[in-house]
Amino acid sequence: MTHAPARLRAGPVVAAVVLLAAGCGAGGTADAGPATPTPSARAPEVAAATPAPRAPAPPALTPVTDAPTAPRRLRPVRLRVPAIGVDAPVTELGIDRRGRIEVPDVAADAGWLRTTPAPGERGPAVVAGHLDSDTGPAVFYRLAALDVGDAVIVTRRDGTTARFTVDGVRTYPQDRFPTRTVYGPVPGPALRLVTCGGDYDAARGGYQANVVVYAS
Amino acid sequence: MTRHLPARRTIVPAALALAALTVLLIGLSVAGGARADVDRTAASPAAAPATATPGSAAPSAAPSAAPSAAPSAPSAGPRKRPRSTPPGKAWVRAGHFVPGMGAARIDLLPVGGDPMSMTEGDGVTYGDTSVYRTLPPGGYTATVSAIGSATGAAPLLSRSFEVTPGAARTIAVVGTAEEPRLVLLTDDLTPPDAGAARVRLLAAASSTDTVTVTALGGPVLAQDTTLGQTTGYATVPAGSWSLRLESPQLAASDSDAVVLAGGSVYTVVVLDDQRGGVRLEVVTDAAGATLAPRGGARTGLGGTAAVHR
Repeated sequence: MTHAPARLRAGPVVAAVVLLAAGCGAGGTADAGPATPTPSARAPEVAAATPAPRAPAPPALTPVTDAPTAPRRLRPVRLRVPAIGVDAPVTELGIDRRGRIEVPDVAADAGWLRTTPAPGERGPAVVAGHLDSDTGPAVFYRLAALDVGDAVIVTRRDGTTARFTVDGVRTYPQDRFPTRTVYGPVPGPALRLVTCGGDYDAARGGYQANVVVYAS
Repeated sequence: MTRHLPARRTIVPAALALAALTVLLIGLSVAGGARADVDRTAASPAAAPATATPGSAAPSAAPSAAPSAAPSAPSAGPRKRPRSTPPGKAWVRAGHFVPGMGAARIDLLPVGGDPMSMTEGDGVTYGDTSVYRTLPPGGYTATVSAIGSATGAAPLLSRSFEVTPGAARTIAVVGTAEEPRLVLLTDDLTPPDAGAARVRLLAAASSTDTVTVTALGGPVLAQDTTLGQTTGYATVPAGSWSLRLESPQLAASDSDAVVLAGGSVYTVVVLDDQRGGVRLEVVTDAAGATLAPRGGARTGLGGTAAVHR
């Protein structure tokens, strides 16, 4: 793919960076999902009604953090969506202190949420990208134009690729984002591409919806 | 309109320099800005054709036996509402859980379609669970035949079922060699609570009448479960667990550590081992995010809002 010249210039850099961090839905909308952002590794209830003759080995519980779950070699580095001309680097995203998904710093980058499986491994790999910057289109500007059957190819750090086909495209109001559907368990390799959509209402935090592309 | 690649050269250094400032100013974008009317309706749902996806085999853990006594414990509570399912394909796999029954071929006949095999080559043998295949939602008939039976011969077992978009089923041959049954398990994809996994048990050992399995220091996964039965899913905090297996006929035993990842769903299969005892096989049903964020993604700044129409 050819690269277009940089759209975000030096002048509005401060504003652009700030806005990239604010983006759609930053206006404190309610959450539809039940996600708990800061659970602690709670001790399990010891359910024994009678004592065991010997002390059972205690479970080693996994703390809940936004640490990467996939081996480094399998993490994504590039995303291609030929039908809409996307060929973009993939960065890594975490979950911020408010429990929200981080977004890429750069309008042209896509970002993989590191608490989701690596693309090509079992489960829903979630990749977010901007619809637009404050001055023009960004990496997922045409995401909603994808059709069932379109190809999405992810290159991983070790050079292997994971290939997906689009199963469906959905638009959800920001205040009814289906966390369980997007991030919930999947039996095999799956991919979700996420960007903004709906009305842009600056007084209500920007774009009012999210577009989600489901692929497997 | 669609050229939207690098802004990288100018933005990256600025992003680094202003990271702290950025945090402080999150949310200020609500002040002013262009108003836009955006209508980006969803594309049609639709059943996509099954296509090749990168595979991942079902991992397993094979705990060993170490005798000890065990406590009893109450069962885990019921689950909350299921989620809405994602659009697209259904997920179907097959498993052989009948002790003493030989290798089997499991085939699928879609309504109005061509037959397909769920079991490559030599078929499935006792204890095998295939990887999931993606299939168009719709009606299917599953058949089980003995390996080596003549093509066109009547199958041993047959059953029709429906699959819906995004749902998962396991075609399971269960029971005894004298009386095998074909059941369609629903692999529940309800997300576990944050920091937890969900685990069910499938009893497939003939060396004991019933089994009770407890996550040591945690919940009971199965209480007095008999051959061919599958339990509901119990919620277990994510981590590394030893599973205690008790039965009327065998000494209690504790498994090696089994890792249960947060956000994932498992089936523990109790199988006869080759020494007259039992062993546990942990099969992954589905994997999800280990931690899901709240709400949607703030992935747009409005720079194109005026031109969306």
